[in-house]
Amino acid sequence: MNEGRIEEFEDLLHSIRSTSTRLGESAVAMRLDLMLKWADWCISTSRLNSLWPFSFGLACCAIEMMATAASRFDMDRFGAGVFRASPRQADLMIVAGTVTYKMGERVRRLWHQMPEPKWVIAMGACATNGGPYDLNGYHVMKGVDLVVPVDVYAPGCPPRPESLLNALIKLQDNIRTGRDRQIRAAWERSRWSNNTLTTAPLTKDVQNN
Amino acid sequence: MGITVSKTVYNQLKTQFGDAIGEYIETASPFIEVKSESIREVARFCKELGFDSLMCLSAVDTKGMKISSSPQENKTQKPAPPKEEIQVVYHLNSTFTRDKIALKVCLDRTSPRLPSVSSIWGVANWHEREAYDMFGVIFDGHPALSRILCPEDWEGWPLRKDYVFPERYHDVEHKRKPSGAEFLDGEKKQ
Repeated sequence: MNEGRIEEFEDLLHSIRSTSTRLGESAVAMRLDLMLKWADWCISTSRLNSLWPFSFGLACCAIEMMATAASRFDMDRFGAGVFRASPRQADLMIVAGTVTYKMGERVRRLWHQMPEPKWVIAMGACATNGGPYDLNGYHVMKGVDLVVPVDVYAPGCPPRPESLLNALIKLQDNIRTGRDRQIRAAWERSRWSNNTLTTAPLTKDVQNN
Repeated sequence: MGITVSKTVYNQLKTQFGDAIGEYIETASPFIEVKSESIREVARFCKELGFDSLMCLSAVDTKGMKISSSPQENKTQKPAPPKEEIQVVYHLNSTFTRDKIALKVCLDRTSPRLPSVSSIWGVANWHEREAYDMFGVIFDGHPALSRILCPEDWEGWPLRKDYVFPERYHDVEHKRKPSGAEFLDGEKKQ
């Protein structure tokens, strides 16, 4: 089950459990535990079946993303077909394409503008690790996980729609099992979350726009 | 359809500007060489001639460039290697006569600088910013000459032949070290 999904209730649960075991009423605690798990299941199921992606394409991968959303592959079968034009209304950022250093700052800003809970799929080789720009792309960021926490990486150049759908299903599995929170926490512990592109104030031209 | 320099246009420019216009060279893609000081006057004159559209403005770095001799040329006489310079090339199109010409300005590599033509063709504004961004060509009289593609705090001119790739941008390494280990370790422990 989805452990730690509702942290604010954990303390309450512990206090009730300790009180009730002291009273010898462990059945009450067990029932509470079950209820919370059930609520947890409801919330995560709702979330994973209504992931609203941010319509946000950077390069040729966006063409495949559009194909995934279109009728033949129909991403809406998985509840993720509602592409929103605003980061304020989106849960899922599909980074589809090459992320340059200049765009990296904007990606980070857009990610900050999305409301929690939020997830990121790095689509294609460029967004995963720089891909074809690995050696000679002086301007390309070597992976978008240098600025935002990535939940699932979709390999390919560009990935076929099936691959993106697979990444989406994988992300849904992660949300179901609570692994997405572990990934997010691990990213925030890592040194990648502390580079200046992530933490520095935005440069002048970003502020002006 | 390649670029063709009609002899009449060349003669008109030559009589108007004299020494500022280079020799007429018959090559596969002919161009008219213009002295950098008079490019704005030449451009204005070309616009009055009917070249109302600036199709492209770009720069070339000829450092280390090799010339492959065309089959028409004499094979025994090797062409001299081009001088190391930065060239700014203007491709003009006339929407009335469907005539196309190319102007070329050769500049010193150490401090390339020439007058802007953005007051004549508005499209030159962004093209000149791009040439400035990639080659460091400074256009005098440009309304806002700043980098257009690279971040504002980028160092160096990326499309110059002697450009050294940066090792990092801010503190993000250009070469990614294979030490995402700490990220994975956290996963394995759990």
